[in-house]
Amino acid sequence: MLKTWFHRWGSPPWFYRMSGKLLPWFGVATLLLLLIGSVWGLAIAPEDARQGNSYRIIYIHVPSAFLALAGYYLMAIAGCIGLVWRMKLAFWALRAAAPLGAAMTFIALITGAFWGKPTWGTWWEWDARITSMLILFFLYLGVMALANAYQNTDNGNRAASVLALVGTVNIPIIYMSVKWWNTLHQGATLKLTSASTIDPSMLQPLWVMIVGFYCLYAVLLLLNLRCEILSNERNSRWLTDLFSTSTSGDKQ
Amino acid sequence: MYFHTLHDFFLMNGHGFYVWSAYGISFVTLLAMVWQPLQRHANLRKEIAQQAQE
Repeated sequence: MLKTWFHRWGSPPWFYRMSGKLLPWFGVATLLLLLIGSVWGLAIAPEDARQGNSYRIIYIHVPSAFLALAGYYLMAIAGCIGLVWRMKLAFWALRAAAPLGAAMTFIALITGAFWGKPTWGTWWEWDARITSMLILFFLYLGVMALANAYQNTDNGNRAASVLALVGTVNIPIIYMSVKWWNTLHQGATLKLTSASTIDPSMLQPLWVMIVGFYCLYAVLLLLNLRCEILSNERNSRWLTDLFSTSTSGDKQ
Repeated sequence: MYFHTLHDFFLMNGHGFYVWSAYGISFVTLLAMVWQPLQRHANLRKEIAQQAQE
């Protein structure tokens, strides 16, 4: 059961076809959720008693930081699957996920700076959380660079996967940084084991934005992965068949 | 709507610059992340179709 599932989704033609069917749904969900969440968070949610309106940055800051971390798991697991089972689609997923993770980490850092200035009085601080997120950003860039550093693509894939796996040591550090070092960054707003430290009227739009960002990530990952499939399989029969029939059909 | 006027909404009680900059930069970054693979996909598709015709 699991094996056939793996084989199907590991097959580039199958993945290309299924992702093409999934994309419009994720696309519509992303647009709706991000639109509703942004309007709700920017215009409808009340002002924070201590931080004023600057706290509204949370609606991008937290979702992008979530995806920066979740994207790293995905990338490292893809690299692991690629290394162990030599599945090429897994390596392509790693290549597709690296720039997305870098973008999400960049957004988390830059929105954090714009939140920090009015709240802490500084754009940047070598705080444990911020520094470990900066390391995450460089890890993503490192994976991107290594994947393209070799003449032989297989070597690049393997080297990038090893770096992605080694870099996972940074993930628990990011999570625990606000607890271990009691520095500037505030503690977690959302907690799994206890009540969140945020009013429901502010929390609801945050969940909308978090789900919206997950959908957006799915869209971006599928789009990038489809490009990797086309680029790597450009000489295979199924692709030339797929596109030659569709283009000749358009012309005639 | 939390704000009374559109003017208040843009100024955000002095935090407007920070909030709108953060949202603006994020929006542009994400838009580029969507546009880039769409463009690459279209180019690859064209290339493969041409290759098939030869």
